[in-house]
Amino acid sequence: MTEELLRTEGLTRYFRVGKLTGRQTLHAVDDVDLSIGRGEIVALVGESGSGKSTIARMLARVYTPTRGEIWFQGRPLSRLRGRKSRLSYSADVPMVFQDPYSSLNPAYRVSHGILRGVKLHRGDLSAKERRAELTRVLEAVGLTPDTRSRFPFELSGGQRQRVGFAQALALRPKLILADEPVSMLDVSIRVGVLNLMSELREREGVSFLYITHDVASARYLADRVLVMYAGHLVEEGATEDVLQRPKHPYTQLLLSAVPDPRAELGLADARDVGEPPKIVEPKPGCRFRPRCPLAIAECATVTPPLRELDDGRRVACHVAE
Amino acid sequence: MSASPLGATDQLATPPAGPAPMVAEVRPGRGGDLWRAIRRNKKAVAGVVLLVVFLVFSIFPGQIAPYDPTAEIFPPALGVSRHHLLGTTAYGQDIFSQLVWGTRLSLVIALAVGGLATALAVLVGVSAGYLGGATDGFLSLVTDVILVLPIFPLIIVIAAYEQNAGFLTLVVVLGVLGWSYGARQLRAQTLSLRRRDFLEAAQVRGERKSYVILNEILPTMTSLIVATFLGAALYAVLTAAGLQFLGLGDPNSQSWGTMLYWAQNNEALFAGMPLWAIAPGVCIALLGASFALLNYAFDEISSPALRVRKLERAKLQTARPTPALPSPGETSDGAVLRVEDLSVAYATDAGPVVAVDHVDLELARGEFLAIVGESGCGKSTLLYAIARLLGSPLPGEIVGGRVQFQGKDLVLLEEKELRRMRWRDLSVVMQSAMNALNPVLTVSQQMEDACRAHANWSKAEIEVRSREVLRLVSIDPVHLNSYPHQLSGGMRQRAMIAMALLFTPDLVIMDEPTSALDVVAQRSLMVQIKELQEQLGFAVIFVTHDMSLVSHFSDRLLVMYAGQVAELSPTKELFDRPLHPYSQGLLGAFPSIHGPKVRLLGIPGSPPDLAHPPTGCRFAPRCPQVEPRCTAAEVPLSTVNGSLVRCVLHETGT
Repeated sequence: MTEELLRTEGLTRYFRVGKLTGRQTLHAVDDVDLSIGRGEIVALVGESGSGKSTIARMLARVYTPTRGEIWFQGRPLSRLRGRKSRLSYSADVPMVFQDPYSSLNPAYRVSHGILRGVKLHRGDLSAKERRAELTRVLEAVGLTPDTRSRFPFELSGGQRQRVGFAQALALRPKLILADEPVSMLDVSIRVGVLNLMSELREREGVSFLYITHDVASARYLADRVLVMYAGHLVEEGATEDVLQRPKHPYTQLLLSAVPDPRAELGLADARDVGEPPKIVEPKPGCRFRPRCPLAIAECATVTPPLRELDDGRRVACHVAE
Repeated sequence: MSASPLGATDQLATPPAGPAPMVAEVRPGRGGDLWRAIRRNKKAVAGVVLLVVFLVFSIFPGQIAPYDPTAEIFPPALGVSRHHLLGTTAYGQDIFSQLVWGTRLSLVIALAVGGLATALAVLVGVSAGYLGGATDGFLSLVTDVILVLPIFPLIIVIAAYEQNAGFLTLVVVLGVLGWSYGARQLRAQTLSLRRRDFLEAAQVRGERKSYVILNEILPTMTSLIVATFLGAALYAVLTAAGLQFLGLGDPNSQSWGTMLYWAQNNEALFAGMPLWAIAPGVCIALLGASFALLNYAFDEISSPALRVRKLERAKLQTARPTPALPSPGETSDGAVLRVEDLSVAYATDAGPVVAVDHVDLELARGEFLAIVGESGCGKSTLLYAIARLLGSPLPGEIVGGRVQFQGKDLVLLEEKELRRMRWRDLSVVMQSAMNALNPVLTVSQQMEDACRAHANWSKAEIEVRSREVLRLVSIDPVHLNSYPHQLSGGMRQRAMIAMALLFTPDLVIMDEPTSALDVVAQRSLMVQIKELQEQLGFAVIFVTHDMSLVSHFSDRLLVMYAGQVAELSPTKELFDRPLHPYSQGLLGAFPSIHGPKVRLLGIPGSPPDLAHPPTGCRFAPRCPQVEPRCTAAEVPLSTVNGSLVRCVLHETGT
């Protein structure tokens, strides 16, 4: 891995659920250690409810972690003091949202969100420099400069998502949190947005945390893959390693389910009708155990830690090797 | 503005991306568009005209009124004449002059109260909705308490303390008591906005809460704020007039309510002078009507769904060519469904838009046909046209063609007959089960409803059948007593399929039934559908935007582009040897988890605007293999080795 940009340590987030009587704790994210290098694209893969969006929102400081720490450029986020240093982090780590139909304010032209970000985070720029920056970022994401005066409803989903990236880019970010940025786009234009991310990494040196449930797109884009299941990080490694030789039984199940016309239909575990559990007041033990073909007695009592196998691969499984 | 809880999965609730902007949405941000929309709306025009007349009265009363309204210089109780357009009062004042002068106070009260109440409503409603938690609890409590106060009696009491209550007292009392209704609406609107990502985006950007409220939330609610203002103004006009009529205002002020007060005092009816009361009464009604009309108009302008457009049918009908397959009557040779020359159009401001353009299709018994294409290509519209589910809330209308099913033309069937057929012989599984299932009924209750509507079964028979179909889709029958929210996403979708199979239909129509599911659940559902189909022998039409999903399951693939059939081939053929450049583009658009990593390009550009489709081949503007002849003329469908393809590269020259 390249020089480290961001690292989390024991990142945990609980939500309180239920009525006043019988309050329970939902473990959305439990004890996650991850790291992202400078200029690296890391894919965070998992099913809905696995906690991947919660991680993004902790990194974006929308949610405060219940436990654990986020280190950005060697400094812990929990010790950010004052509006100025918080704003500076917001500029370094912007987010691009999943739904291009709801992430742009319908009442404003495209220029609004971009200019507002520049004004807020780069107050030293003159009005003229801000306009120049507007043009620069629009062109950087493959939109024509006249897009600035369009309203969101005049744009297609793909164009809107590009505006989302332009807004992030205008802040001169170091890491863009991309939360399922292509899942609501048509298949035909998804690749365009994926290519855009990889170009932005090349040209602007931005790192990406690419959150997705689509393993194939993670393979297309990412250097490293993190697999989440029910709030736990279950496997981590270089993309090709993980996808060609998945170690965790969940990763194996996930990969076999990806529809691929170029491969035979994998029917071996096609009958798996299990679903990720809601982790409310969990007991120790592996959370994938009820669906796992390899489960042993130990899995029911001891939560498998993420342990390192060979060449940097980490797996949270008692059995895998 | 309805934010769907499932977001991505529900095309009906999110702004449709397809042949979508059924009606150009008017954003309050665009002055020009707003003005145009107002001019097109009859209610808006009437409201504006009335309001302008009253505004002119109130600004230039001296120039318009012929006499001093207070001067008691004429003979009392004169009738209508050239000199006194509406006669004179019991004290010999000119009524028309009084009306003109009275406009000012009524209007000023309306605007002032409207302004004050709106400001309070916005402040309380938006703060409560956005800040949430304890703030919301407290503000909502205050709002609700004010809402249930018997306002009119309360105002009478307050006004009675302030004998001869002046203008200011009236405005403050009405304003302070009149904001609660608007605040409730604004709060609800803010709550629904809170789920929109652009607010979270502002938060992530590091904006302060005050900025978010003032600059991100308020501008999106312009129409509701205007409605609140107009509603409060209307209420102020009526309440102020009522108070003055009761003598609780200043009896020497010039206003319509005061005129009513004096008319009552001087016993207008006994005196044979009903005009004393009618004249100000009509003015109050007209001013109120102008606010109400503007309010309605604003609602219609800001939510296009309220506007109904009718297609000019005749035009499309005459433009329709003779059907390609002239075979009316019974479907033959084992075909369960035959779609002939089916066209569907939407009405828009720019004229009719043809979303499904002369589609022919035949489905064999037990066949699995998948329809793929980008959003807006007409695939869902075609599906709903076949099931005759178009019309409110799904826009679109069948403007030509036939849908032959079980010897009947579904296009011509009466709604009653359709309804009988729909569940028994042809059933539909929608995209989002959460929206299709009734949240307050258990699974068994919903199955029972369906059975009672379509069959004459006893309770025991229904129970048996319900258990049977649930087992078919691998759901434990204990879930008969579950409510939809107690089931997981995958189980809900299975339950929907179980319900569709209650009567063993011949045809099951599915609109992206798996798109809300995770890959693992998605695959097991697909395997299940395929097994059920083989076991029970029904035919399936399956719409999806993801070709790879159906690659192992469908018999044939229909690729649609811009409302037309681009290619129709056996699935394996299409994946191995796609003929149409668009099919090739779609196949090359998604990455694979196997094989070498190659850079993909997708399909540049976006589908054409169906209101103005390109001439010739509709895919030509995006096609990497485009030639001059592509844009010369409409490209017909050609048959190539059992495939149908609409491309000049494969034209067979017939």
